[in-house]
Amino acid sequence: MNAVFKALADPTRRRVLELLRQRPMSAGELSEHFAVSRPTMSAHFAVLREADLIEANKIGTTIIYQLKLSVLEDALLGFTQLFGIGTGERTSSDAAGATLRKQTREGADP
Amino acid sequence: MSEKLHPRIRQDILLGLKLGAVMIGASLLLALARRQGWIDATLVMRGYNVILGLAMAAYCNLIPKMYGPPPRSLHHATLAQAVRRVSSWTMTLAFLVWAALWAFVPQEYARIVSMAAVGASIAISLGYTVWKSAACRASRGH
Repeated sequence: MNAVFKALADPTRRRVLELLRQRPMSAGELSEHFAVSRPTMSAHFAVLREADLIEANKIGTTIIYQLKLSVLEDALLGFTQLFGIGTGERTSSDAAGATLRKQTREGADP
Repeated sequence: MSEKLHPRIRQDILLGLKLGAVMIGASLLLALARRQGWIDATLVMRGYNVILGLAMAAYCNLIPKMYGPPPRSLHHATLAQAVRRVSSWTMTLAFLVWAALWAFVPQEYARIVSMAAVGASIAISLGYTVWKSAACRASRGH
């Protein structure tokens, strides 16, 4: 249960779950919604998978992520969104993501 | 027969067995209490139905995590996810209502309304599955 709370504490991961509520998506599709680097997104997916909140399945050559929330976890996600738990971290995590991306880009440029 | 079971299937079977054991254990305790004259037959009936409702709610709560075959396509994955989610919510809520009714409502009403609640949840789940499958098939046809 600790892993579930840890996973739900982050606004980016909650947004991922919110997007997956609509339909299963590939890692690329999900990453398009966030201004963070691919490695950061992969780390978020790993935390969600570890908490057993999402599942990765291979269809053809694409890996798609599917929601695996129990009713209790779904309700918990709803409550955390309703009360905006961890929204203060959003700006800092976004900023950290943006900085990381900038550094990666600068590092890639000759 | 030598095929190894998927770990998820083993977990699901164990969960069912544990819940079954809880229900049997609780009903034996209630029967014992009745035999000792500590509680009357009405309380045995109520107690058993409350435990049944809670156990079934706990089981239905985990429907989305239970084993399912790997999806064949994105349509299939979308359909499976939506159906599991709706069925899980409706069944869990229905069994919580079942438990609450048997705990607090007069027995003659609890008997009818609890059955109606579970019946309605099954009807909603089946209706949603049929509707969603038809919508999915129609969208693939275009």
